[in-house]
Amino acid sequence: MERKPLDLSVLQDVFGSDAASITTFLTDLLPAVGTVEAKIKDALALQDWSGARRAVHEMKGMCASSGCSEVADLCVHAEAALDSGEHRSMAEFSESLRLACGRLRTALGAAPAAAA
Amino acid sequence: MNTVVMVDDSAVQLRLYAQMLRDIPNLKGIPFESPALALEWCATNQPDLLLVDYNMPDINGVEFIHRFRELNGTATIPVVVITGEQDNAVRRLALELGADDFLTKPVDPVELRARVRNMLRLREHGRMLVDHAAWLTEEVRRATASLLDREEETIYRLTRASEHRDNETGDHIVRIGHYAALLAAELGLPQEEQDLLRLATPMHDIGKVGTPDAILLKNGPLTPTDWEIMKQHAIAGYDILRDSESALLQKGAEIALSHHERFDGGGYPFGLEGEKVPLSGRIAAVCDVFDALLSRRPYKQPWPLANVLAYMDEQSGRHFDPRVVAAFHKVLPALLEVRARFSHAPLDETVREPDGTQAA
Repeated sequence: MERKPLDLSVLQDVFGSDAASITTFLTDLLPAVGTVEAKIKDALALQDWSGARRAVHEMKGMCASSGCSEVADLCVHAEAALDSGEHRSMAEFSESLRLACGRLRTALGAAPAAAA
Repeated sequence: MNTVVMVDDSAVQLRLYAQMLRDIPNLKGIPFESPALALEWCATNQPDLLLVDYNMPDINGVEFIHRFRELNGTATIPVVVITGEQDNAVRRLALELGADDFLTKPVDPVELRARVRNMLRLREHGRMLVDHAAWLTEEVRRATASLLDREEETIYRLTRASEHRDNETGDHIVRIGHYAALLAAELGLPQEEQDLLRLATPMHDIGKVGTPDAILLKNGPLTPTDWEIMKQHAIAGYDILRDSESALLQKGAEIALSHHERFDGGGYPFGLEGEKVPLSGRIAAVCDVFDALLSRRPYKQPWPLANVLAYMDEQSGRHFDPRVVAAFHKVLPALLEVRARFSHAPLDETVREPDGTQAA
């Protein structure tokens, strides 16, 4: 089953009906996702598997807690693959992550209106 | 106000935790992205609860707990580890190192709030137990001190009663207790032993309660038979005090039995020699003779201090242990202060030289 790029109900559980706080949070989340995405990309390009694993783990935690389900799920699988040494799947993961992050950025951009 | 330290290398996570906990009253969350900085803070501040992420670069959650628990006063502070890891070995290790609970990522806000409330309650109960234990300890200390005071006073009054027959004032027994403690300190004995000697040395002559008045209060010289009877007070004192469970009475028995032994073996009741005479007895001998020579007795005038000091030196290695005499000289000013403090007789009478000048 395809996961949504952003499940706002997760943040509504945390922030309640405080739409302004959700908006602020999402505004700050956007660059944070970009930063970690770049870390993953760089580590994979260098075949720095442990660095990639750390960054993927960071992205997984951040996205899972924020309702960014699609990226979080991708990271769960990528982390398992890195732990078991399946490095060949990393190219496919990299491309999937790029696309998912794009969809997430779009969703994050639209989210403030949805949160309100 | 309860302080909750939150340690996670992700600023996003920290922000979410703070948000989840915002409705808990009297709670102040302190976030740390750096475990090292969090440990530094905890070294000088005491949180009421620690929430720590397991998977952090540099210092992971398990290592963090280990280092946190090494800090003073952290033993009863609850620690909750937040982890995405399902690894049981990690969880067991964290528990062994002092984690109290786990939360799994992504953290459910309701679950986090419930765990935090429970842990803070646990902390509060722990604090109350510590306070109660401290209160009980203080009460026991106070009660013990009161018992010791009463034991001390009872012994002092009984000893004074025995000395009273001998026309002796209570000052003598108080003084020689203090002398003994000063000598013990100078000889390097531990504080506990110094205290015991201060309290037990006054009991040295308690056996005189069994000495007949005709001998104890005799104005003239004692006959050899009188002396034999008089000497029995050492064993009589030992018999009165022995077999007690009280360390103080045990020490009193030892001193009563040995304070008339001489370093050269010429004393009584057993003629013990050198270090076979218990140190307490060797100390008591110096204290008793020093104080007696400086004091007026029915049969003698007080000796001038210079004569007393000359006598102490002359008897070093004979009546007295030379080591105790050396200590005696070192603490002489303090001994004279004690004599002045606990003396109903004018000090001048006892420490003035024959030519009327003040002794050193």
